[in-house]
Amino acid sequence: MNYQENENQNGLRHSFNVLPSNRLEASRLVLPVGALYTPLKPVTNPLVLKYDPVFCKGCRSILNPYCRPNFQSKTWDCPICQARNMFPPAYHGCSETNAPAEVLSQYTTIEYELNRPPGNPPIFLYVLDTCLPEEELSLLKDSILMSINLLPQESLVGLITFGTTAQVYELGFAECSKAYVFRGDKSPTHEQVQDQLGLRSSTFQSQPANPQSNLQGNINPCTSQVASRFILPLSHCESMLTTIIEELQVDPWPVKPKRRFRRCTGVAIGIATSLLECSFSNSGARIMSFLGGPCTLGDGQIAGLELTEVIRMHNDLRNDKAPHFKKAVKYYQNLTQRLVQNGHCLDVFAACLDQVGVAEMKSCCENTGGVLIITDTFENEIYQESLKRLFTTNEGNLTMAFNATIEVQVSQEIKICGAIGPLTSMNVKNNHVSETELGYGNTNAWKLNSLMPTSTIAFYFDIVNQTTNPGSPFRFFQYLTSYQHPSGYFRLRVTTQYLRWVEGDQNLNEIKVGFDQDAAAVLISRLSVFKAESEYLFDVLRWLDRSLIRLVTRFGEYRQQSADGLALAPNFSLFPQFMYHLRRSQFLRVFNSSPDETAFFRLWLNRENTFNCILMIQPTLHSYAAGQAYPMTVQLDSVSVRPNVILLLDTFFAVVVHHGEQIAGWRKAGFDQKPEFAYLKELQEQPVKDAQQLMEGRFPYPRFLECDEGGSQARFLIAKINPSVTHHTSSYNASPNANNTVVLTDDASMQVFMEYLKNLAWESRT
Amino acid sequence: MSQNNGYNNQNPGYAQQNQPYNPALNTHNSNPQNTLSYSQQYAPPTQGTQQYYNPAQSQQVYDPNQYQQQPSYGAPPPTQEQLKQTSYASPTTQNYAYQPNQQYVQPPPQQPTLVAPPTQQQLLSGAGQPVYGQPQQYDYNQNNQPYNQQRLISNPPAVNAPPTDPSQLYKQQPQQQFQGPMVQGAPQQQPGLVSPQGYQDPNAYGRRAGRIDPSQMPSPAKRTYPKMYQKVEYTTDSQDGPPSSTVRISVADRGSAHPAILRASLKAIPQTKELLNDSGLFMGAILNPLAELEPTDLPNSVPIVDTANNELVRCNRCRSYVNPFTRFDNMGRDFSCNFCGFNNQVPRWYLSNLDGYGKRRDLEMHPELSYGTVDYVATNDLVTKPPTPLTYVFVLDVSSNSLRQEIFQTVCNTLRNIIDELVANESDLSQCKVTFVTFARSIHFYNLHETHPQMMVVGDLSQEGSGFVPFPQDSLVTFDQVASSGFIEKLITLGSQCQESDQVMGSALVAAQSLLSEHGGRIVIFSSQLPALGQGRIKPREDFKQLGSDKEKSLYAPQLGFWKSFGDQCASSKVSVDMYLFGSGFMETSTLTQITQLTNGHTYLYHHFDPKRDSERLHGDLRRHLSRPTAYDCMIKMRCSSGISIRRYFGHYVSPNEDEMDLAGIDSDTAFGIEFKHDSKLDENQSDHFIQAVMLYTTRTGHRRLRVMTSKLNLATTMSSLFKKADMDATLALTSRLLSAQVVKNRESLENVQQMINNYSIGVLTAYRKYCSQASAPGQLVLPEALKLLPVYYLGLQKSPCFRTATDVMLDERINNFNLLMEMPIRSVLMYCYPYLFSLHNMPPSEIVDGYDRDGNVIQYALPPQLSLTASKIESDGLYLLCDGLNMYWFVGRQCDAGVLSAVFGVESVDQVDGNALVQPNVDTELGARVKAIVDELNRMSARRGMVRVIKERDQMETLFYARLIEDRVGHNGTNYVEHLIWMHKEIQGKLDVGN
Repeated sequence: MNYQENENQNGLRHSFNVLPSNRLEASRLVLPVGALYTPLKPVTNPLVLKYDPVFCKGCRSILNPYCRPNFQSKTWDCPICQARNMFPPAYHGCSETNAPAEVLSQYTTIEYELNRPPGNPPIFLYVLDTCLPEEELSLLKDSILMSINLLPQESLVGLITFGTTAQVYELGFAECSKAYVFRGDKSPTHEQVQDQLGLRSSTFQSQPANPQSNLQGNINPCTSQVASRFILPLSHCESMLTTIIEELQVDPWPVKPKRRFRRCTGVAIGIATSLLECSFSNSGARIMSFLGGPCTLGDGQIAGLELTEVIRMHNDLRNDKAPHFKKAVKYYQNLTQRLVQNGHCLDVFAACLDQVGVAEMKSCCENTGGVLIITDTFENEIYQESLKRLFTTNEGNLTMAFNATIEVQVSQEIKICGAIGPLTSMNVKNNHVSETELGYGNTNAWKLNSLMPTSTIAFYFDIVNQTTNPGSPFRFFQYLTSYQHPSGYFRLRVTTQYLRWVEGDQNLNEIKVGFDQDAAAVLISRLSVFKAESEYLFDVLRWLDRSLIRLVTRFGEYRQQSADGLALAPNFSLFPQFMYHLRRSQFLRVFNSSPDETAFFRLWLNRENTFNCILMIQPTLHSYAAGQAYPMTVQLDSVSVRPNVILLLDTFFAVVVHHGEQIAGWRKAGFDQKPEFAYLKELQEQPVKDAQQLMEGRFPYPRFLECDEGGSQARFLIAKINPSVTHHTSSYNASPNANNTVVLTDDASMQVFMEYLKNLAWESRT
Repeated sequence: MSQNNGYNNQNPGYAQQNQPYNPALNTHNSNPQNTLSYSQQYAPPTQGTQQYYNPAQSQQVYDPNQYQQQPSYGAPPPTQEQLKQTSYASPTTQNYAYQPNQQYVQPPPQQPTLVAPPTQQQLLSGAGQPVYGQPQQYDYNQNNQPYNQQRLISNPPAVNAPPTDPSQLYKQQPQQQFQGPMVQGAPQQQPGLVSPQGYQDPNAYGRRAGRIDPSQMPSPAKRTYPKMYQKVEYTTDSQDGPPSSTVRISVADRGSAHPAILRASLKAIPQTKELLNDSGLFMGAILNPLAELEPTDLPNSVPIVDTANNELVRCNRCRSYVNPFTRFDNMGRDFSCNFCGFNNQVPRWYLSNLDGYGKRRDLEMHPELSYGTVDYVATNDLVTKPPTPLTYVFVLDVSSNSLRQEIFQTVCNTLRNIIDELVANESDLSQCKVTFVTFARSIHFYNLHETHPQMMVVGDLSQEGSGFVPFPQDSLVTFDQVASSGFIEKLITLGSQCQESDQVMGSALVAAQSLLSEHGGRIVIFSSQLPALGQGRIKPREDFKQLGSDKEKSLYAPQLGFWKSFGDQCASSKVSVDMYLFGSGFMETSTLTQITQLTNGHTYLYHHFDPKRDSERLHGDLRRHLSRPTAYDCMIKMRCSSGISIRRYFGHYVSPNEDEMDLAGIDSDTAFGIEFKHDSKLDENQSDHFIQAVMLYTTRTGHRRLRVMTSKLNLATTMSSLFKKADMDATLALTSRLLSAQVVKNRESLENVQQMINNYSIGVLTAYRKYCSQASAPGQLVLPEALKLLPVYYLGLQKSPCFRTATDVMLDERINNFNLLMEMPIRSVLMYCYPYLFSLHNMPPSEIVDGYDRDGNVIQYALPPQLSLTASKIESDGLYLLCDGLNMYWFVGRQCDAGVLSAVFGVESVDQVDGNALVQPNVDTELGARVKAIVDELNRMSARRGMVRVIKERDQMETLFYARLIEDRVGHNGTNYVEHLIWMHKEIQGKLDVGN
């Protein structure tokens, strides 16, 4: 099966589509056996069944196309645990010709709409920073109002603002704007929040819950309190909410010169967590925080008040010179645990020229599936557009899912090592769980509090079969994703997939053919980024290098029995490049990024689908030149940078249109405005149009740049391309072809990298 | 008046005695004519005694008609005595106020032996020891005089004296006197003869022996009418002391400070410590720095001196400031300090040449060299942080208790009216910043900065939690903005939605204090109950059994802890706290008021708040509160010229060191006592001495000022000159502070304090007698002219709710009175010790005075003649008004005229008078308008509106009223005024005899 087809049909990709059948051989694959699964991917054969699924009594997997139903005996065999199950009575009318949809071969991915009363509409709890300059605040207010307009009317909304103190607004209070204020320098406990908001059962007054509240089946009195006072359907509180937001003022506490705002981000998010925890536990909710600067007060503090105290950089973290870091991380990790438990996610929209502390907060976003956007100002399109796109609707429903759990059932010879993605381990251990942990492991089920259509999870597996006899050639994987659809209904998506498995030594070729280098690159880059969080970068890079060398050693072919004779199969050929760019990328080389940026980049690498991840690892570069009908895909190399071409670089996070020196010169001279040079104008417009197309639908919205060769913005391109010509090469090797752009770097170029790889791989082979 | 003449003829001595009370005729105190001759009273006019024995004659004495014609200001109808008799004489009535106290009153031994010598012996042996008599003997009228005389007899010399000794003569009288009624026995005996009025009956007195005629005894009620409306002009450079504070005066500042601002208890400083100690007087002063000046005063506001930030001119040695008494010489280049004599160079910027008289030529340009009180614009070194207008935080209780009693709503409405009015009048308040905080279980702030008010709830009441505020002091809005936004209207709606029963008063205060911590300010808290939650929660001590016992004083002791430490915190952050306590139970005032004491705020008690009745009072209190001159962040320091120095301060302040007072806030109704001490013997050649009080403060409008108040005092080398220059008002105010401090700080029992008051009185009079009136006959009670009212005021102080040893005074009220006594200006103290009593049903026409008040209205002086505080003035068909500056009692006689009732209460009969109703005189009638004017005038004079009670004769409540008639017996231990004088005289004589 074509990988792409499989991805379209099931949202699944595997690093090895053919598996070796025992542990030893599996260890010789070098790269992890894994899968990339996109649970919300709009599949080619969508089908939603409005009844509950049929479970296998042995392993809790679900009736699927591979289960060999026997309609005569009304039984089916579970392909995963081999158990024989009876069809439930409802299926007794089924026959070969009238088979239930879930056993049809085209529905390897199918959805059930569970027979449960729908949950609450999604909750959006805004947490707004008011420690902003006047104009920033008004931009923020505008964007929030805009986002409120995008929300479905039935969604539940709440509002918390913070600065020196944190305010929880009682949107259900009709008389005036009423807020409960919490001190910013000390985070209240869950009980204190309840107490101070008057939510403890002892303090309940006979306030009637909002009769119009469209919450169903609420028995928790706290929930009805919150639902009638703090978190209301948008349709009920829109005017109040709008008024409050319009009248928001900059935090009234004076900021002395050369000092930072007193900002209690951590406390505010903690309160938001507590508020939802006590009332809407296990209902889909987003805590959407909008930050304009670093947290300087209370728990989660990342910087002192004095501006002279620079916010921690990677260097400080490495040297343990970030006094607030560990404490803040611990605080947010605690919050993360609570968020995960309650099924809520935290979104962070940060707009600040400096860092805001995303590095500390990232666990809250990463493990709950919240989005993370960092920009410099709330005016920035990246922020504005991303916020807008978060609320993209599809057939009237938001395109997000809430409060999901994903469970993986595998054949018994396969064990689950872990997963990396916007998730948290649920620590459900069973005999399918491997001792080896990769990513978030020790479980076969994970919690994903928020899912986007592109959210992709990397699963890592282990093959534990000790015997060499493969037995049946198929091994099955079933992914069960239950989630709350934005419509409120609970759904279960089931994807069942088999992989062929062979006796490895003899069938190395088959395994080789089954290699998916894109998936493998993504799997290993996620793993390396995961490792980089806890290990020294040097070790990670060495591990990457060794893996690459071993991979090439194992799967490369040496035609001339020498290092130079290395030939890689087409489905391996790009992998070294990916590794080369990964090594140089911002994901691992943090030298030029702040910890916040690193957190941002890594978060999205851990989340996006295979295509986007590859784009992040190795950006695409297109070239436009006069007289060239179509844009040409060119090498991501300094040789591609030429004075007479326009380049379009897409790094996922940024889309750069780069005008060669000559073209820029022409433009400056105004040639493109002259009718006789109309083609110039067209040439210039084309890449911009294409860029728009690239950015269409991308989340987060990328930064779009137009720059000229040699200009300062050109650094976005230069940083990405392979420095085949550097100041070293050009000075010694003065090439007459001055068209080559010189990249000023000490990094080894790809050519050098490949040389070393060849040699080392050859050496280790012999 | 013919009767009067007759009366004078019968007792020729009285005619002469009338004269000393005319100030114009006032000569030397020791002049026997100026004194009340005690011996003469009891001189052997046998005729009188005989008459007294004769029941028939005594009947004649108490002939109602005769009585009616007695020259008293009212003309009581004959039925009065009978009414009184029925109401007081019956033992079953249990008159609280007239129950003779065992301590002072010896009940008669067996009646049959009354005249016999053994009785006397018995009496003597029993002196000072309580002996309980039969109930019927406690008849007020019958007994009080004799008992006191028994006391007098207890003086051993008197007992042993030969019959010629006047005391021997009179000592028989008492027995006979009280025997009389007993003999008569029957309840229907001429009631009049035993009525208190008997003392005022000239015939009765004259015949009895008495030369003490109550109407002739010095009393504050006598000196003010008919000329009390006239302003006495007084220049502060006068050799005489200032007139009494109860008199309307217009003062010209001629170098010494206005007496309302700074008033010394001794206008002449005694030369030596011994002289002072022998005199028994207190050397000190009462300082009321922000006292309001009258429009007729000169100048009528304190002049402001701007030195353009040049350093203020002060002595380099003693640091006192230049003042009108500073002498410049050496062509104006030097000045010598009038405090320490140090010769200083005049700073360059202050140089001015002198004219021929040695006066600076630029004298006119320098108010500080002409006036006793001046304000300097504070120079930079006195400004620690940029001053801002005063910030008010109103902290309002919205617990269900408060809402149910409509406290919150009433307070809000009152505040709204006052603020609207003051803002409309462009009072300086309108620029002050203000915010409102409401509290119940949680604390609610209101952000008025935005177009719509925003309510912010703070629920964190943990130790570290409370005291944080959602916005800074700088973001508050002004009264102006509050008035125009109509916020208070909204506040009532918002507050009324609160449904929480408990409240967190302590935490709310902490929150308000934190809000003000940046610039300081004033918190005004309204609380309906004790805080049950949050910081400083209080469990009331319910040890009411201790009331009246020796342990009662333990209830005065505050519970320390939060309320003390928080008070200190407020004081150091310059936050002054005023409390309005509306609790209906015991409010632990001693604990709560620690804060107002430490921050020099005021406490207002509104027990059993009834919005209908008390809203007027609340309005009055709040309006005065917000409209009177107020300042904050103050520091007061007092300096004296060499030889004397400060011994201690009395008042509500915190003291960073011994010689200065730090005040979080101050207003015009706050005064301080200062006591001086001798450092050394004073130079007798140096006749002038000086005191200078300096107050650094920030005005309500946010100006930093330094007020310098200087007074010149003379030197007294002899006892007589010392007594001549003594100042009754300041002495009383100083003594009352000292006594209050004895209870509050030293935990003295009330009995001890009573004793102290007596000792003060006796000490002073003994000294006077001993040193200044040796020439007088030994039987005479000689009072120094300047201090002749001291005994009656002291008596009033003893019988005030503060020190009265009675259980009818609520503990909260008593404790609050201690605080009040510590802070009241002089005039209020005088009023408190000797309340105003007016009869409203038979007023002479009011006086019209030429002049205008501040608002340009013609002043009509409203007050009618003041009555002596004795029940003999109360008649059954009358309507009376008694005001002690704190409380106002309307006393309605049972037979009060319907016309009077309808004019004042709007009802037709006494029965319809509602004891809880608001008194709203019908101004359409002449009487109603007049009564309203009287009430207004009284309210203007009193620092606070106080409780208004309408009391009908023979009501349960009437005890409240009678308790304030201090010339009568009050409480168990009371003596009436006459008895008191007699007793004192005896004590003095005893002392003198011992001395001799």
